[in-house]
Amino acid sequence: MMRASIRTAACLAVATCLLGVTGPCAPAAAPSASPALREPELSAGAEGAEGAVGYRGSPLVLTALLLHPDWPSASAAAAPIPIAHPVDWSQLVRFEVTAPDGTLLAWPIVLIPAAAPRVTLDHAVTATLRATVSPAATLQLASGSYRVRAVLDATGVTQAGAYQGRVQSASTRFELRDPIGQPSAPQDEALGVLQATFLLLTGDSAGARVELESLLARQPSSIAALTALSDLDYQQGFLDQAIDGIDAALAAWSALPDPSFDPEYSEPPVPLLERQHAMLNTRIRLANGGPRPALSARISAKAPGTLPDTIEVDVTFTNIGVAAALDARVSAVKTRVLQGAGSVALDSPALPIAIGALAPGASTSVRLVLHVDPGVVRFTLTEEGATGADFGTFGFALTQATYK
Amino acid sequence: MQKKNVARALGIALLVGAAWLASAQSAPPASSCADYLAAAQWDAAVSFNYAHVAQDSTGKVDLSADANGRATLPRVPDPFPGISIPEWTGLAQGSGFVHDIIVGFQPQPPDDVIQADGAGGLQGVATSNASIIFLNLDSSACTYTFTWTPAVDVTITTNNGSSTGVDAIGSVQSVPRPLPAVTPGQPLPPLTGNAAFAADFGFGPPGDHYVPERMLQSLFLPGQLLAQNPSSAAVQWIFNPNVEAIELVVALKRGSVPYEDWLPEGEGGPVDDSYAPQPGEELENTEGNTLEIEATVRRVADGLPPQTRNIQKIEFEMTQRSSEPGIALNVPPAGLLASPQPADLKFDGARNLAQNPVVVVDLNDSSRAEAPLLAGGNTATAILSSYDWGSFGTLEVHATLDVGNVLVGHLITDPSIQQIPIPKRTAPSNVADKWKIDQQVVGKADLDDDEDNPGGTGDDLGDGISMYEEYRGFFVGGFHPRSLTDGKRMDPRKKDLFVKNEYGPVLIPGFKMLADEGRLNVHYALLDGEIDAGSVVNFNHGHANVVDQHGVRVIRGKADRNLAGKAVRASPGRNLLLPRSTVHVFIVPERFGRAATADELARTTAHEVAHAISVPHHGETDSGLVTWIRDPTGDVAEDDGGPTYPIELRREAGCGGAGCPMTPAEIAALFNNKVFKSVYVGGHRGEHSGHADCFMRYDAAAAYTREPTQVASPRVRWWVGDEDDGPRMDDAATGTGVNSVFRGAGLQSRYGDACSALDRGDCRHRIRVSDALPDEPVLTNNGAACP
Repeated sequence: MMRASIRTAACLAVATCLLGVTGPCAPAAAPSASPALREPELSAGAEGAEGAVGYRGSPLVLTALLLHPDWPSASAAAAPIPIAHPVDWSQLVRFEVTAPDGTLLAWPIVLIPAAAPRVTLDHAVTATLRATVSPAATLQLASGSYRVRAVLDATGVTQAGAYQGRVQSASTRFELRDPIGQPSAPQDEALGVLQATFLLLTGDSAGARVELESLLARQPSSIAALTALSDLDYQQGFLDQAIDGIDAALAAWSALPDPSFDPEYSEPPVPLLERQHAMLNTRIRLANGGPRPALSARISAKAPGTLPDTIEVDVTFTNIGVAAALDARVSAVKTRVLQGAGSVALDSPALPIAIGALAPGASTSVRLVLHVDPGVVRFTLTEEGATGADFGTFGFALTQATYK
Repeated sequence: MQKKNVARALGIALLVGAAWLASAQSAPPASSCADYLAAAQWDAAVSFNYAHVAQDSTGKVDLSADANGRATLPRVPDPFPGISIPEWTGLAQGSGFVHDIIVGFQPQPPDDVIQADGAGGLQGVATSNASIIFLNLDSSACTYTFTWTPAVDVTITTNNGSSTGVDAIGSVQSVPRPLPAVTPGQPLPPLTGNAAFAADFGFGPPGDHYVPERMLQSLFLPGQLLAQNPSSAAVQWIFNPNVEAIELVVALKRGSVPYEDWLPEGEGGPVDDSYAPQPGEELENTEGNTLEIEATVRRVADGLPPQTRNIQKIEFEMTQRSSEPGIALNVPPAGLLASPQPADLKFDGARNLAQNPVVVVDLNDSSRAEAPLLAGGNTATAILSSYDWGSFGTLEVHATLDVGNVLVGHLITDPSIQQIPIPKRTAPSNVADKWKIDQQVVGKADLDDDEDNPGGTGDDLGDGISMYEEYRGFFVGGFHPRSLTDGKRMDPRKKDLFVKNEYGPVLIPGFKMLADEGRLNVHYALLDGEIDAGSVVNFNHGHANVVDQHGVRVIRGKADRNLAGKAVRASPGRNLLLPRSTVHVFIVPERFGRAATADELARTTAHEVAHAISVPHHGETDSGLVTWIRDPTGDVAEDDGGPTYPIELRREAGCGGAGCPMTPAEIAALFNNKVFKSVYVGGHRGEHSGHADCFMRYDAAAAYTREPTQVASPRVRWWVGDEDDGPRMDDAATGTGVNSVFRGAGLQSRYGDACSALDRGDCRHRIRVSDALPDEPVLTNNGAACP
């Protein structure tokens, strides 16, 4: 037990890390311009293939959770805490990894953007951020025991009324081990789902699908893989496949033995049932002619690029449906050469491309920079993605043809 | 020249002696006797010795004792001024010896022996204020009397092997003696003398008598032996009058914190990331906080230093001290306790050597310290160190005057308190008054453990942590809560639940939700060493323990049947869970794109941990996962494990409030061109019933039945629209939200009220935290309709 003789100083340094959340002994915060605002509570988690144990060569997923100190409360009396940034409030958050001796390490942690300038915490609203460390990156790290914490540093924030302090979460233990030579079936399942999660978080939904399908080929009754693939189908608008997947997961669950059957405290597979419930409701609504968004796309402008062999194409997306499109994203841009020789590839922007919300009839444009080989004359662009709606998620694949 | 002077001196002495004899024989005028009443104090010294050996055919006695004591006797306020005889009294310091043997008297067997042996200080343990000297002056009769009750700790042993520690208290009682004459302008003369005091029961003829120390406890002593070889005690005494009344006052504080507000502390942390418990010996000898004890001899009249008295030394002694295991109820970890248990309050040698004047600590057990004073010195300050968050003890302070008399100190704010409780507390409690006042539990006993649920019925009181234990406290996350300026302190009016979170910080919202809604203090940041391997949290208990209270371990579950979480009981049975009967609670992580939101994960966490404190589901009538079968005509049947029967699927809304049958298109969409569909069907007053926002309610059903007993055909299954549980914990079984009978728009209550007949719903009042509570069975109707 390490002890300190100067309690106040020690409290400043360590207390909040051990209480689990930021609290009364939170590390010194910069003077806040809005003293009336309370400090949000921040907690962090690190997850590898086996919870707090991860493996080199396998991804890591980090999670930061922001709560209003009065969360959860039935009363709305608590003053909200706006977290704001000119571009993306998630830029105020970082993860820190420390070695057992407390040394701060520079891990290549990639934060998943929140893609919104502001989130306002209150008695009912929380905010979750995720970050990843890629398999290639973890392979370069030394195995060992680490601690991970999240830091929200809003001391440079100038927006009026926004939180302008600094809080850090408790640190959580994480152990990184050398790669598993021959993973057991449960380990194989955990590694596969974690890899798919990583790919999905980093925008590679196609890669996530491949990973999950590969896992299901090895373990057809993997509830985790079936559920994950169903989620992916649902997000991409493949409702029937999603329902089939969750039904298969339920069937696999029903076939499992229950060595710890306890009539009083046995719980149903709530996560599966909640998914199934939502999907079935969506399909019934659609069967009743429920409103849904529908996207169309056209090339609205085209110009030579600034670099050799590039062109800039403006693609305008329009919601031609009767319901609002929510959080529409392009997850893949595919090309096909119709005339000429060579290939066409997307240079920028990085995927996924956020389209955002589109009311019925509304449009928005996205500029694509394409690398086009000199021999290409005519080609097609296909934007694949999904859009949310208030009762489900719908996939789209929109194709345009154009001359170079 | 020298010879002349010697002869002159002898002559004067003889004259004085003659005068003294004359005065002893004839009382001086009463007016001069009244001068003695000006004596504010008397410095008294009394000694005696006694022996009595006798034997006959019935047995024998062999009694011997001696004692000498000194005391400073302040004036006792007259209860009836002018009527009562003035009295001065004080606690005697000194030493004594007792060796008594009584053999073979009835009712003991003939060969029985009672032997009492003891030697040492006059401050008996059992009755520490027993050695008292009284002096009474009758100024009208010009006489004085005195009484002394020397007390010595003895051990009584008998032939049958029993051994008992008691105080042997003798009694020296004088007859009235004439007061010496007072010479005007001269100091008052001392009262001194020596005499033989007859040994008896005190009921003999008038005269001096001595009641031997064992007689009052041995009334079977036959008179014939007492009369045999009659013996008497030789007694000497001197009482020196002092007109200057002095007192020893004791003031305690720690910096700006007065005695009344001081709370003991042990080592307070922090424990950092490299938490690695050291052997308990180190931890338990690490000072927590201190208390400054300032003792001052001063004049009673004006508080100024004495002018006519010199003080040799001031002694500080902890006459009683706690030795609780560890420094708090869960630190150090089990197995690392010091052995033997060190005392919790000690005078630290180095700290006290640094005082001015120097205070020297008796390092044998650090319970005593003394400050020798230079001439003119009248004050000393000792530092008492606390090594435990629940330390308690009793302090006495004495000042020794240059004539050898001892002044007993008293609390500066209350002259009646000479045995000073540390911390300030009200007997018999060992909890500081300050803490009780702050926590609004004044008057409660140390063993009390009676927190009720909000609005509770008093059936399931307590959290397994006694009031003293709440006060002594636990380390949570490396800190003792009282070491923080704020934070999660123990609350004796609110149930405390301990959680060992082995999953990760993302579960914290769930613990907060349970705390907020259950009106609990949930201590969820326990470190590894702060809960033992058996999940007991108060493993270092000592004083005022109710029960071995367990915490609830929350672990990361594997994705098995229970995909959300589960409370796992320690052994088969159907009793409500308590922390003691819960192996752990596991929560299953959701990783993929639809990873559980903070709300969902929190509700799952709160739900499962609530099971571990006896909160059941809202009912038990859900059909659960059933299979719906659609035939080519579109009709649907249900297979719930028994006979298959036709069902009608209806939507709640529409059709004048009665709900409409689902259309063929809707049913087709539901089945998606397949024949079978597994869905979860909720039951009337089942798991989904009651308060709609309660996290103990299920929200997993795709459809429900309203019939308590299903006999109609086709049986109706109502398709559920959007539904969710909530972040609340209900305090009534009445259905709300989708379960309300007042949903409006003609909508019916879905699942009805929670099954109160089986003690379901009203979850906040179902909470049972204390492991001292008896097992209670889960009330069940085995899945049949709620009675």
